Amino acid sequence: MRIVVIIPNAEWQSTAGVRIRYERIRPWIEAEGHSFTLQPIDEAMAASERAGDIYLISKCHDVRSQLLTRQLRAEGCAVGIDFFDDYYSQKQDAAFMHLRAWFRMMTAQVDFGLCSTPNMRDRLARLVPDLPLLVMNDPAIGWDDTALAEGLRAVAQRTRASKVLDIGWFGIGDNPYFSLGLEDLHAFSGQLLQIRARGYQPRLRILTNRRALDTRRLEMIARLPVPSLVEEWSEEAETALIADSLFCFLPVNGQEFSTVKSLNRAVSVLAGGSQVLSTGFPLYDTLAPFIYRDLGELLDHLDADTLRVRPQTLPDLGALMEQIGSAQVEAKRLTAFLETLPRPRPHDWPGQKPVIVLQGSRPQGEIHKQVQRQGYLSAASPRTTAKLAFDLSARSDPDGRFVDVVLRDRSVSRLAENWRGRVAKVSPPAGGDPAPTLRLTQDDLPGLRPMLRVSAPRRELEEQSRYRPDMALMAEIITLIFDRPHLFLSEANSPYWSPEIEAQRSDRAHV
Amino acid sequence: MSTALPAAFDPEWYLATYPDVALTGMDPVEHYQRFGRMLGRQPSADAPRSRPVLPHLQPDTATAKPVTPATASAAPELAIPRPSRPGPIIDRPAGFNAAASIPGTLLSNVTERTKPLTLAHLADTPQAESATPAALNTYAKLFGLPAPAKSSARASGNLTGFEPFQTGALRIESLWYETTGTLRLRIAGGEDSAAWVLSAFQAVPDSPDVLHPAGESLVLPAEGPALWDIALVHPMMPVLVQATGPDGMVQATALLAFPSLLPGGLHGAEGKALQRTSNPMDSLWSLTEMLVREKLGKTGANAPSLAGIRVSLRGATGAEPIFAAPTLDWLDTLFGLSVTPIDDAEDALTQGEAALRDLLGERAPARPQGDAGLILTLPGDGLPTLSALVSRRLDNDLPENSAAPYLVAEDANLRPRWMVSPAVGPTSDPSQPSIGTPGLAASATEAAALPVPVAVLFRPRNPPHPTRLLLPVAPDALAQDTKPSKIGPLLVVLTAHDPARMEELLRSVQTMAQADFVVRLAGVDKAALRASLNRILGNGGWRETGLETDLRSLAGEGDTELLLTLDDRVVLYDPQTLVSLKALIDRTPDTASASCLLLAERVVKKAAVLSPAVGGLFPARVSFATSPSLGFHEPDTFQPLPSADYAVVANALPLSLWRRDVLAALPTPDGPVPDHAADIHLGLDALDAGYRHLCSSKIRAGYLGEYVRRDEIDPVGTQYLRPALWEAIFRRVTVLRELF
Repeated sequence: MRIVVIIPNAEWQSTAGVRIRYERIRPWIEAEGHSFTLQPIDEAMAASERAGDIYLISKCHDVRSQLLTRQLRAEGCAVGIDFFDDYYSQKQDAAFMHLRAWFRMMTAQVDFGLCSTPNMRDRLARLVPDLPLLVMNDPAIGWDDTALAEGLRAVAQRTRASKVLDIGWFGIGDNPYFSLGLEDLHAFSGQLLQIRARGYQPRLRILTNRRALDTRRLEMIARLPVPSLVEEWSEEAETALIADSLFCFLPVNGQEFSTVKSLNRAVSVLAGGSQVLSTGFPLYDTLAPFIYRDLGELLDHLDADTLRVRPQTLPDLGALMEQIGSAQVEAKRLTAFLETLPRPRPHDWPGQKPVIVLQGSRPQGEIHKQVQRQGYLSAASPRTTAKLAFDLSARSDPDGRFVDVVLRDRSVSRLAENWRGRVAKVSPPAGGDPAPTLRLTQDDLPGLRPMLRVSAPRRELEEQSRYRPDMALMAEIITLIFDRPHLFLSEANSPYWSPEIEAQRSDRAHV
Repeated sequence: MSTALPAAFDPEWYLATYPDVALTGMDPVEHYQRFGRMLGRQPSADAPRSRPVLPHLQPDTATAKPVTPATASAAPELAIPRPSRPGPIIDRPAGFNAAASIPGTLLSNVTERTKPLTLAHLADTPQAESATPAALNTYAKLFGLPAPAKSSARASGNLTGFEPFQTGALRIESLWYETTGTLRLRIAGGEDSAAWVLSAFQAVPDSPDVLHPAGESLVLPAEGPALWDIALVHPMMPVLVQATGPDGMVQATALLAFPSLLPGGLHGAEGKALQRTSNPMDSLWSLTEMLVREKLGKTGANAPSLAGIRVSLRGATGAEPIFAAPTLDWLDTLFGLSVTPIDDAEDALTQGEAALRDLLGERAPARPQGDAGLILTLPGDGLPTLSALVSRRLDNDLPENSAAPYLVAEDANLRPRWMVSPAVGPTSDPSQPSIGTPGLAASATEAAALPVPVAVLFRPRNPPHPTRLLLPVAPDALAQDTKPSKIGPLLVVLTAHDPARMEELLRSVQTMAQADFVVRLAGVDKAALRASLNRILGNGGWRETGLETDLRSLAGEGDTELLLTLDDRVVLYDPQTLVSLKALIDRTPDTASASCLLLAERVVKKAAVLSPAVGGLFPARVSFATSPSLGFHEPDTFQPLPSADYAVVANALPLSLWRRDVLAALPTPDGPVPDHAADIHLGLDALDAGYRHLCSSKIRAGYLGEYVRRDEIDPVGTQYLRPALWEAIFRRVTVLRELF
């Protein structure tokens, strides 16, 4: 098999996520005689020769992944999605409408899905029951038994002798959409006070990202119930913090986004020589024998020198990691799973019909250009102010009597034949070179009405009320004059949504 | 703690010297006042080197005993790899050694400080003649423990023993939560108490008779004030504070029975709301005394009113205070109450909600709910107030799910924000607390308003992400093929200013309703407005009326079931808005009008910023200073009522849906009513006729331009200056009171 992971861009290859999830299994996959490569999406779209026969879409949430999936499956390649975060199941949340739309469009086409936890698999299975899913755990790195044992012993002894109990917390401290990170630390920190009742003096060290330290979170940190020190996160600092702490505090709240997160943090702590205290949602149940849910129990074990992670239990910890975090095991499971998948039958797509991408509220130039490089048409909606060389746009009469569809030569040639004859070169009202223009009236479109331009400055209240009806009208116009083309919506912002365009795309592509 | 700014403070030097200040985005003055001074930072290049403003001892070198170092070995300096930039983001103050205790004098003749004591042991400590054991005995009674000491003949009747700490050199001038695990006291100090030692003790819930030293003791200076930190072992358990003389005799012991009432505590909003005196400390002591008396049954023979606490798990994450182990342990140990979910086992809960149900289920069998008494039902972000927990005098005949007053505090810092008194009567709104006897239906007679707030709800200060503010429920949550519903027939009274805006609004209304339009031309260019109306509605498809025409008479001329008042500055971006408002009106036959939260938008540095504009009119103030007067206002309702249906005095006219016949039947005013008070006048008249008005923050619409919130006094003249009417108004509307 030739397995290709599609990533958003070349810079993505150097991220920690890619390193942990893909690079660690690559050698084992290649050892089985398969190939395993990462490819940026624009390269994949433009490639004249396919690098793989099985493709995995990873963190590419824009319309290009929909177009590429169509192309690949038409060529007989199987396509899957690597699902990381749950932006899809909270259907009432307006913040992720565009991602849910992407999810619906993609899962109607793809052949399989991957995720990193059983919780995520169960959640996806409820949303797309017919999609084959595989849990591929994030592989863990190993450890030096002797050094780890010595470190564990030293920290426990030092804690008992000095009566100072070092606690670590590390991670991304903020999220623009969810309350987590430092807010979870603050919310669950009250139980740390019992450390004092047991005769120890707690001190907490926090490693986090700078962006998280706004006034609100700084105040939260200042109000933490135990003395704390904050430093900027780095990989080296995290490694040292784990090694130096008696336990790392990993509280987890129960919102849907948090309950499907991977086990990475706990695995890093256990493999790094510290105990894990995790309260709140039992995210780390898979690691249960080595996870503390009750601080009182942890303190009892500390006093009795029977901490869950100690030199004597390292073999058991190793066996568990082998089960859930072995790169070799995960690679083998992945290849076995992929080998069982049926491949799509090659078919002609897009056939003779043009492919048109209608750009939504804030088009991205990169996507617009890629669409055009593929030979597809990039259409502007009235809801955008971007100054890009669109293949078609609409100029609406303020009274709604007509709409002028402004075209380019490459789009004129794709019009349905009966409309081509009505195209005339017309100068724009504001002056400039004449452009091919097709005027549609209420005779052509009985539901025609004015489509107003974006106000300056832009008003979200107006855009919210105009978006859906205008996109529906644009879809109607495009469908009419191009004779039912393959129409896609490129929308990367919420809460913008076009159920009318989505309904057109809801035909399953499986053959 | 003083936040006075030194005269020599140099903001530019401060910013350049401490680079993390710029990272926080805070003004350097604010940063120094809130954090820098405490950390011991210099205010300017020339300022003398300051010490951190942490409580420390000022030993009198003439009389202090020699310092005995702590017997525990000091922790070695731990090597943490530092980033390449100099210093951490929040640096340690000079000399800060986190491994050692805060420097203090440990007196060798005091019991070894690290070991816990029993209550009896504490009582056995030699007591001065002036000392009373009241605090210790009260503590024992609170937990059902044997009394550790005989009551003395000098017992003052004061159960918490706070009097010695109210006056003189021992006076506690101020007391607050410096962090969620540390109480900070400011003590007057003085010659009379020089070299006295203050100690604090606290237990954990599973062993209330074992008292742990809460932080270091404080040797009082000859000249005050002195600051002292009490390092808690539990965020909410009672704290015993003891003053011991130089001779080792206990001079006074006080019981801080409910420290969470303090500023910064989980019940800080309750402490603020119930503050009766101008001195917060006097108020705290008297409130604590009152609550303790109630708890111990000193006020009557009734059993505790509250028999159980239920919580809704919908939307709960477990990060809320009600689910915290310390809170649950405290409720169980001190009040014998457990928290149970109202959600049935068969309800479709998320994984997180199900985990919470399991968590509560594991605790419930330990202490089953009482059979008789009131059940308090809370949303997930709520916590029972102490007043509700201790009360023995709440009405046991309260019907199930009766609305009850509650408090709102900020979730991040627990600052008190609001007291909300909903309209008296039943509630089905899960976002608000309710109380009542299970199975008891509402009776024909009006229930009495509850005298105390029953819960504190913890809410964020700022509105949510703009997309969620705009749409509390995503439209794709509905079935994909659901078409927006239309209501009608509907008479729309439209106030028009701008032709383009008006046209757009008319088109959207036409998709939502079968409507007839009566239009008041308020804009300058009336010809353009008329032309637009003719274009959209057709000649004869609308009727013009004067700006002065009263709504009552317009309503009387129509024959539709519903009448909508609408301003063309409103944006109905949600196609379901009118359907939802109609559903609100249809809920009960006595609802005269319904409206929703309006969001306004303003541009800040080229970005659109959405914020709540108006969500109904509320009573604001009552004054008898010169003549009786009643005021109304439009507060920012989002924090106290972010997702609720609530009763208001009136709905604002830019968007309100009415029962047309109710509006038509309202009495005609005696004289002209100013425009800015027209909706209040209508609202009050309808209330007087026995109707009510509902507003909902679950439904939202937009408002273009700046909405100037009104604050009106006697907006309708003398008609409503009969105080006897006010009680009837206040019972049937929501009253919001700001606590800050």
